Amino acid sequence: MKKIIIDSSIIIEFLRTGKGLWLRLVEEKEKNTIELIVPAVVVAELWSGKSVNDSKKERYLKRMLEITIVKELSENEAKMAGKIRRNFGVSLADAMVASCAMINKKAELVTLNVKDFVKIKGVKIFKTND
Amino acid sequence: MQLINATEARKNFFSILDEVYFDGKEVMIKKGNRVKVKFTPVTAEKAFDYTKYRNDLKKVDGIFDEHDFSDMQKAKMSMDKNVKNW
Repeated sequence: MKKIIIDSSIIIEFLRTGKGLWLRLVEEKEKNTIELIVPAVVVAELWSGKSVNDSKKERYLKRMLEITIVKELSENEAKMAGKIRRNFGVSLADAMVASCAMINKKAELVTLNVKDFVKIKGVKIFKTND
Repeated sequence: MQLINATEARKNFFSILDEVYFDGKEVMIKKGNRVKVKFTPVTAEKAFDYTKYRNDLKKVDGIFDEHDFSDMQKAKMSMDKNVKNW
């Protein structure tokens, strides 16, 4: 089963528009063809938004994440994130997401910020047929 | 304990029904005083209800707008600025 690492942009896109790639990922998850992994740093990013002070909004966010596995940052991933940040000049949060995708072999990253991640060698970007 | 095949088990199933015990944890099939079969039933994991999930997510429409999470993105950028200064 393919592991898909979710970036915050995918979740925010769905929450703001009610559309987007998220629904496609849910379909694949239901067919059991993919596993949806959310790096813990993405959870931190999402919960840092003031929008989550609203309990109704927080409930939707929690409901969305119910079908995902939240992946904690291991020591190796943290070191790899630092290296990515140092060598590719991306934000630290993005570097943590990228390291999660790199360390979990066969994992692919799904993001709307392709240009930020595509320059990181070793990160496979999930491509849809759409 | 004697092993029997599936056809024999089906034939004999109703004849041993009155000798099946379940204490809430373990199932025991007895013949006289002898225990013939003993096992712990496994509860199947409840399947995730994707229809309900989709319906719940449909309600998200109109609750969030383009300003939601914009402060989060700004915070991300300022955090990065601090790292650059390290």
